[in-house]
Amino acid sequence: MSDIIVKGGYVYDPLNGIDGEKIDVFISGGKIVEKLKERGAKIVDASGMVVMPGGVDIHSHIAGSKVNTGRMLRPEDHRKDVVPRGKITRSGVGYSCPSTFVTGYRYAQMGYTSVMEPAMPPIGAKHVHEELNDTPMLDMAAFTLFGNNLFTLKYVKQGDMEMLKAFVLWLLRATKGYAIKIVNPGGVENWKWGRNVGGLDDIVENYEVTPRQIITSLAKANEELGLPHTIHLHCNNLGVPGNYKTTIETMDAVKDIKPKKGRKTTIHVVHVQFNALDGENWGNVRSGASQIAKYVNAHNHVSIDLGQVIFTDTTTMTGDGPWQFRLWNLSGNKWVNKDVEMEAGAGIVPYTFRKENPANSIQWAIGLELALEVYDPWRVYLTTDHPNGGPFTFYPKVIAWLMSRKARNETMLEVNKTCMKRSTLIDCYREYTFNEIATVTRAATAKTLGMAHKGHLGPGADGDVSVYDINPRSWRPSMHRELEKAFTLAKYTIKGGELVVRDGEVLATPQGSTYWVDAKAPNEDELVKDLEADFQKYITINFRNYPVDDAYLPHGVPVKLEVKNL
Amino acid sequence: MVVHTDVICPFCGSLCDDIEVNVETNKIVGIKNGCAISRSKFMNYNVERITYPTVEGEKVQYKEAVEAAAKILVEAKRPLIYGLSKTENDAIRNAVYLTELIGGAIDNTTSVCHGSSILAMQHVGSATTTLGEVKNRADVIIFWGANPVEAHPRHLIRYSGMPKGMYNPNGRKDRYIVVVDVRETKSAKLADQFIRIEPNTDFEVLQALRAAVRGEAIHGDVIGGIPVNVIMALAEKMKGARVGCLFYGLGLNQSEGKHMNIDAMYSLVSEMNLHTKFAVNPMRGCYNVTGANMVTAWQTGYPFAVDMSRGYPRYNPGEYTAVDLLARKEADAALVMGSDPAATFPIDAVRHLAKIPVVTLERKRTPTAMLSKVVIPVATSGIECDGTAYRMDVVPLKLRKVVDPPKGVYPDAKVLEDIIERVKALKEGVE
Amino acid sequence: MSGKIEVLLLTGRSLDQAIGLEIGKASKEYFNSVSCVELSKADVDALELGNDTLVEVSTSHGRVVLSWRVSEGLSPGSVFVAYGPWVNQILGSDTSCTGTPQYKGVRATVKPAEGERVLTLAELVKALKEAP
Repeated sequence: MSDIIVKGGYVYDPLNGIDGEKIDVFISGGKIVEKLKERGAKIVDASGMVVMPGGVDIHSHIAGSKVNTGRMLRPEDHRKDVVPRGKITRSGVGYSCPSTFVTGYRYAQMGYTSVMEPAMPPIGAKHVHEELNDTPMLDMAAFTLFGNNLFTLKYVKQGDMEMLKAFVLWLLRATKGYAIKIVNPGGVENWKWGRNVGGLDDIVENYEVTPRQIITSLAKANEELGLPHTIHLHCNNLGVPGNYKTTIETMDAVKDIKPKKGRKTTIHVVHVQFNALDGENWGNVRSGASQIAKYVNAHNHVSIDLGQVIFTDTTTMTGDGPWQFRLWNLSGNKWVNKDVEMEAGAGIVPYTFRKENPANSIQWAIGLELALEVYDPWRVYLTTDHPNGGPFTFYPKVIAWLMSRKARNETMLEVNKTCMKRSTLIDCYREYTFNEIATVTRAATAKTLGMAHKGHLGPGADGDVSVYDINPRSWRPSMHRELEKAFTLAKYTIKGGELVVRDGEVLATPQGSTYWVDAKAPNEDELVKDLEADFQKYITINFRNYPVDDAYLPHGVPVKLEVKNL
Repeated sequence: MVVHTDVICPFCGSLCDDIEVNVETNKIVGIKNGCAISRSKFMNYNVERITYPTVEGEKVQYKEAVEAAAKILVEAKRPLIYGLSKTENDAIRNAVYLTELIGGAIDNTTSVCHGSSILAMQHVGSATTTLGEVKNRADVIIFWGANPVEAHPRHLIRYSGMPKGMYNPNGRKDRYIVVVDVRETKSAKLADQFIRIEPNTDFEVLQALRAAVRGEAIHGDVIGGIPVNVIMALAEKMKGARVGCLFYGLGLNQSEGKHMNIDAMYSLVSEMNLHTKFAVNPMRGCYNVTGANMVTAWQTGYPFAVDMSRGYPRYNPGEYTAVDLLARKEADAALVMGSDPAATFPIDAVRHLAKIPVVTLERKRTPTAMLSKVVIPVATSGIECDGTAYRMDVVPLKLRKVVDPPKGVYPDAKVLEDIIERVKALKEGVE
Repeated sequence: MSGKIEVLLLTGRSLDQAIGLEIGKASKEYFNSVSCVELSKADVDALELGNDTLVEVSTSHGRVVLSWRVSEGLSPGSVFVAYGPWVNQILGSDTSCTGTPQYKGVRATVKPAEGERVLTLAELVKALKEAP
């Protein structure tokens, strides 16, 4: 692999304080280096263009049982967007439920080089990894579902933090997962009986614990263990008007937990748009984004991502079984439910976000309000919760909305006018800078994930670089269409020091790495005795057949943890 | 003697993973925990084996057979790749890739079994669950058009009938089991209630059940041979369940009505969720037909009946499904792996299969192998080579290798890899 | 006088068929399990079948000669044959655009078969190869 010099571009590297300076980026041996001689290096001419670290998407449903069920459910979605095979690329389908090869190609074409699969049910972990193995050109990780797992509930009920911590490490290792994911804690367990929880202090049946206890126990365990990422949480009451209160309560619940050394945040709340609703019902729903932004601004232990709505036909899919049931009742669209073996759940419902629909227009406004009213770009990230809010291929549209008030206004004039009356978006004058975009799509996400080699262009970082054909010096926010176009197809994408995309053409399809946390608690033997006994009784596969063996991660990169005296 | 524990049985969709296999000098000498079918598979894995490749019935070297196979596929105008359910996922991945290279159609045994289930799911969705949830929570179990005692012998023992669960501490006593079938099967004899239904009337009966669940009036006294009061009582039983699960089999998919029968069933179960917790689960037959759906879907977007002749995946059951492609005499060559269509397809389709050049990757002498131009022996997945398979409820399990395959016999995945290499070379020569 | 009866033909999995196919499709066990039609006692009596007679089952797609036995679980008017190349001789390939042929509930006629025998697998395959 030859060395690469990305020459003459305007570099945005927020983690290293570089804000649009015209400097060269040197890549050798797959890593960013201090300096290189030009002779023998491939020159990538980035003059007049924006250069950023490769995109790092912190939350996107790309692999596993529910994603694949979504694909199977929606042949009508695929027909809209067929992808023929190329010389070196496989055929497939795109849009809201893209096939795995196409997922990799399209992210790379947008200049993204790392994507996180945010919801891995442990018994289905092998399935997630099989799909990740067929997703090219990206470094990835998967977050293991913990919030409704029978062992989590058992140890939280017993108040046994030592066993809970041992279990967290064991399950991450067994599933080759990277982080603790929590979805509607307690609610998905109650859904196994056809019920739900309505708030943080509701009771989880048969366990007599509360969502609050589940969240705080896992957050505490997470920080004491020093896991690279914070807990990754999908709040209770998603989609219920008035739920912004639950979201703030949730954030507040972990306020006093001591974060691990080196970070300030103790919780990452996902796709907050769906959990930022004010009002009592879908008739009088309004935006609760300002209240949430106010809280996030005043409390630096919280990070969030948007879950931005796109006006298109898409597919909702989450681990929140009861929410998806509710959406079926609201929309009448076909509904798939999948309860998973005493540990998790999932649901899928196609959904179309319509401009004329007043509720959808408010939801659209909420996502942008959150981004514009939270001042700290290091704690608010750009996502659509693909594909729930919309396909990831619409990220450039979101970038345009954030960077250009004109773009927002144009859309606002097309949508139902209630969004002007029931949200504060019309009063948001802020326009994101290139530096802020680089922050919320790469630098900050990599930092929050604890991935020190990603999201920046300092020496030693992975050689993941994207170049966009837009001149930041001459660009004005009124030119939002050009901006969207530039971010839709990167001029160049470099992955691991290899040029993989040029002018939207895929030049190479290397397989990326899959990161996972590899650590063991000192009391693991005691834990395993406990697990084995319960497996025999409650789970329908044998204990020995449960973990994911190394063969499933041919490009696995274990992230070792130093587990201090627990 | 080596004792292998926690071995996964590669026969049916139950994918029992507690088999103990005893091996002595590379031969299986005994097994524990398996059902009678499992025992037959493990103890007879080496019986009736094809031990060398053939072309036109003549023994040839492996390389020659691979070359002949590649030639058949490259020269075909409308090649079909079919089967995929009695093999592991890496082989299926290769099959999809091969189909893309030759611009053919790829279909798996789903199309003659639970294809209708997928069609119904694509229309109305479905509320499902994994088997452990059933074991622990369900107190009303219904088998409709399925005969687990003969087709999934340990299903009732491991998941749905007998086992003690977290909320079923008394095992069988905590469950009410209903069997609905056109004949009184061995499964019906184990049930608390057997309901005899007339063949080809599932759609009407299911719709009547839906009406009963909704509290709507049903016209008539007997539907599908079942007295209306029995249907209404069943609806009440279902509504009164703490958690219910409806397992169904090919009685629905293969009778008149096909996917509409399942459409009605899935709609019923989804609506049940307005009253109580209910799930539905198809009793998938082959041990990795679910894997065939999974791999094909994540790579192409579609779970079966996929055509690649335009360079991108297209989906159309009825057009790209194997029986139709053969009965319409549209396929002009085929590669069969992990299935025996000459033993499972209706006669018209098989007659055409006998006319076209067929490449078969097969372990034992089967009618398909007897009809094929090229036959390449392959290893038994789950006994002679490892890989991943998906249980009927989409739980993935890692199959084991407990013995070596016969000399010169390779796993499906490797044989396909070699064919792919030759196909690429031949195509490059042509282009 | 023995006549014929109109029935609905069911095909499906049986334990013996599954055990047999794992021995091999050319095995005696497989042959015995899939070349046999199960009838209710009432239908056996109606056809006046002797222990050594064979039966012919026919549909609009063809005919096949099979051995027979009684199954208590069947209603009169329903017969069962395990999945396999024998019963496939009389099944149609029309899938109504679903991909799945009708394997159950097929209208058929059953009558005693005089002076015939059940074909072997080799004979079935030979006939397929030689068909026009």
